[in-house]
Amino acid sequence: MTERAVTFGAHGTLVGVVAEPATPGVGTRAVLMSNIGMHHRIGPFRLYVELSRALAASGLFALRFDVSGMGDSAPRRETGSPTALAARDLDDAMTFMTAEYGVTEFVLVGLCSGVDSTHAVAALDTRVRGAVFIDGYSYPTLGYTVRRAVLRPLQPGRWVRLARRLVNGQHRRAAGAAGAVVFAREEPTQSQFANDVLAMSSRNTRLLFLYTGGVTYRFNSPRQLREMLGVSAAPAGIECALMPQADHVFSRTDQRRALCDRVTRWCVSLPV
Amino acid sequence: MLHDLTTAVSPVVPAYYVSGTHALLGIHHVASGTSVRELGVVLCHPAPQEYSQTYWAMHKLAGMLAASGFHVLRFDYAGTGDSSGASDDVSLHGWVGDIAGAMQQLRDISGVRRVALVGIRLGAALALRAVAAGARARDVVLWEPVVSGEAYLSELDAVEMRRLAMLNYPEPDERLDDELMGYPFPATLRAETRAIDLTTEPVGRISRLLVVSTAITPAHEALEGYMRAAGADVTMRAVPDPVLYAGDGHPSDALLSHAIPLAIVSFLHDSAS
Repeated sequence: MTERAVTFGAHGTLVGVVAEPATPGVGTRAVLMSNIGMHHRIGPFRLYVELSRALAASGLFALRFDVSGMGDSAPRRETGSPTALAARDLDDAMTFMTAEYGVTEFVLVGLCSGVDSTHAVAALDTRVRGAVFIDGYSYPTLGYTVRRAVLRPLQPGRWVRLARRLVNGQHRRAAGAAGAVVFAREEPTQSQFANDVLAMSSRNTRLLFLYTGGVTYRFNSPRQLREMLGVSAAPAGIECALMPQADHVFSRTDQRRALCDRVTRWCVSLPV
Repeated sequence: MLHDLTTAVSPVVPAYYVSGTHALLGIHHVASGTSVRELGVVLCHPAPQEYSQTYWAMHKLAGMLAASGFHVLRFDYAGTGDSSGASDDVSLHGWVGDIAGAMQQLRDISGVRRVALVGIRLGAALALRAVAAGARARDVVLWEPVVSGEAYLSELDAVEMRRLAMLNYPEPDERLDDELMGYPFPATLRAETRAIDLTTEPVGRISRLLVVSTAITPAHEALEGYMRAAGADVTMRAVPDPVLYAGDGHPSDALLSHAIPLAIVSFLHDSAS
């Protein structure tokens, strides 16, 4: 495995690192990942560095890059919503990987806000053969509400944390200063989400949904995905799992390793 | 015209280069502006625990310096950022050597004859150690420097406890001994860090030294006295600006500095004149 710093895009102002496999395998496929929140292309705690290297060691190309205006990439000259601009950056990234390495099939990985452009592009672009959504979209369902009402009081950690906060005067982080919207996301409605996911499934785009313990307040069972989609059984090519011991940004080494192992195995297992 | 630098965008050239046994990623901010200076600048990032939070500020400082005519190199120490190496296989000694390698890399790719060092937090301590080890940097800037390793570790430990208290998982009492703020932190690295005391360590040949911080602390004043005694021309500047950990050390916080980067550009502008 070797790593190579690259610039690409119409003006050569998008910056990324390609992890190149020593012996390319699994057809000609590349995995793309970009920014999570304010983190630049390495991801929180080098998550995307570790994932890139694991993927390359398994024979896949991996490109981690900064979308325009983030990290080391310059802002785009044209205007648009953050999701639309990031989607153009993903398009540039796929075009670059095809020109540079002959790669024609792609897997996109998105975590948290990174899910927005991942979902938008995966829903429309037929070059995308798979997508991984980590702590992605969720919508409250009847099942979610029942599970929350039944299970939440039974979690001892919840009461321990509450007691600590009361004793120490620690409070949950405020969402932001009142009236100061510094970051806004465009999430699809539940019906749009369901239509997109079912359409991707029907055209054989494989999807992996992972949810951490950091978002159990809004997603509390793998069943919830089926409930969100309004189907009784998971459609073909769709997997969903919880990683309850991981926090939202995978701040523990063992959980980062578990995520890298899981995503790498899934990417390698995709049919050629 | 320093006020024009705040929105400047200079070209960046990312490239890996060999330093010791590692391939390090360097980001070269190419000098622009009306006159390219013979003084280049290497920026020394903090430890991984504060790396992401300061990335935006270091990127901004580099862009401002480049727009003012300085060639600038930011780089990732071995085992950090995009550079080769595992996160749990790092040492301060190795990172000090990486700074010397980065200075040579900047000379090679830009042709500058002289190189100044700017280090933030732990990177400031490493920059001083690099000069003490023989790296030729007559102009050094210490931004919110770590002066005492013991005090620095206490601060990080406190931030870690606040961070864990905000998480759903792991539980606050599940703290791992060999990790700190999300990164591996083996006992050897903890011991190396604890041993830092810039007021007793050997000092290299430094002509001009700037210590810049949002507030000058007794530790900074002790460092000032020590460096003056060693013959350095020391400037101390307290510059009101956002501080790290304004949001309790949440991993998604970013240090949105503005005034301190301007002060650093001004200081190096004088050095290059």
